Amino acid sequence: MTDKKNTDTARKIWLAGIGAYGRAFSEVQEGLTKASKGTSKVFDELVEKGEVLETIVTHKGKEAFDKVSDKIGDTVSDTMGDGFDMDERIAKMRSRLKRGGGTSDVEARLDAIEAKLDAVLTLLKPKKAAPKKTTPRKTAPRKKPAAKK
Amino acid sequence: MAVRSKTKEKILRTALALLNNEGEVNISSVDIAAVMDISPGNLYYHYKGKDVIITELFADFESELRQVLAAPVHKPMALEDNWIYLYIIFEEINDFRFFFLNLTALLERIPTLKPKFSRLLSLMQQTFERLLSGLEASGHLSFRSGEKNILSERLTAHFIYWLAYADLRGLKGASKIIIHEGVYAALTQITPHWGQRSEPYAALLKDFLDEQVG
Repeated sequence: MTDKKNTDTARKIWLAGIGAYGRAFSEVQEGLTKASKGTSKVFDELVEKGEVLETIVTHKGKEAFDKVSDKIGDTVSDTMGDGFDMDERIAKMRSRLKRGGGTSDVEARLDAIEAKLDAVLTLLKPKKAAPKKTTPRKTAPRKKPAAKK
Repeated sequence: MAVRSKTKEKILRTALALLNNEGEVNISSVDIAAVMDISPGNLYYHYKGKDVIITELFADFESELRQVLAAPVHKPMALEDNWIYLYIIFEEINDFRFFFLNLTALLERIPTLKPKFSRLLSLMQQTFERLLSGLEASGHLSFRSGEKNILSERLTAHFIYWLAYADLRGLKGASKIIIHEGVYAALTQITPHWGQRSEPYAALLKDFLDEQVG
């Protein structure tokens, strides 16, 4: 098994593990832990046991990944392939978070409500302004005697 | 948020870049005006001093981070994206790093930011606790009573202080690498909770870091 293949498979299992989706990770890991304790040793033993087992491991990782992809309804298939690009993944996730998060965020909703309230208040203001004009005349004479005392 | 004029937007962008690159204590509003090639009076017309600019920048930072933190709370996401998710939280912090490198002094000088920042920390802690709960519910992690809560608090502290710590430790490298190392340090903290599977988990985590840091 080449080094590249080794890390590829490791990455797949890792992603499946972090994903915690499906049972693939537990099954694969339990099998591997039984076989050996260290990762590199695990892969050495896999070689001994033949490529068949590796195919199963790879397949299970892929299965878990497919499940994840289905759930998020996004095409992130490059995660598992050779075209894995961290920067690209980060960019994708960033745009997904910024897009989806905003509307559901309470603060953002509050902002929106505040903005609407402001708009309503400005609409109401002209109506309130009219009766206000009469009030200074009434209050002004009342205040004057109070000030003299 | 109110719509800003082009000049205001430009002031904020320039100020953020200067504060991040030169350090908060080394930059005055006169410096910002000088770099923009406008008079200090003109700058003052838009923002009455450096602390007003910082407050406005904080509002931007807060809304960005809230969006990111709220995402898995309202809509649980595929957890296989954990590494990347944590990376993005760090990225937000890094974009506003001057604040985190001078946290205590700034919060004392601009007390209005304190309750806002405190609420943000609480949201971050809740987000982490929810992520841990998700992994616990799926049977991958196990916690004794109270451990999950304290771990999410510890992760929050880790995120708040990682950049300052990396700076103090003199960690070299692009911010990208420092962030990946921060993510690795964060995920390593959950290793013991993987139980009998913690050893392979730790090894794979390390493999993944090596791949990112190269």
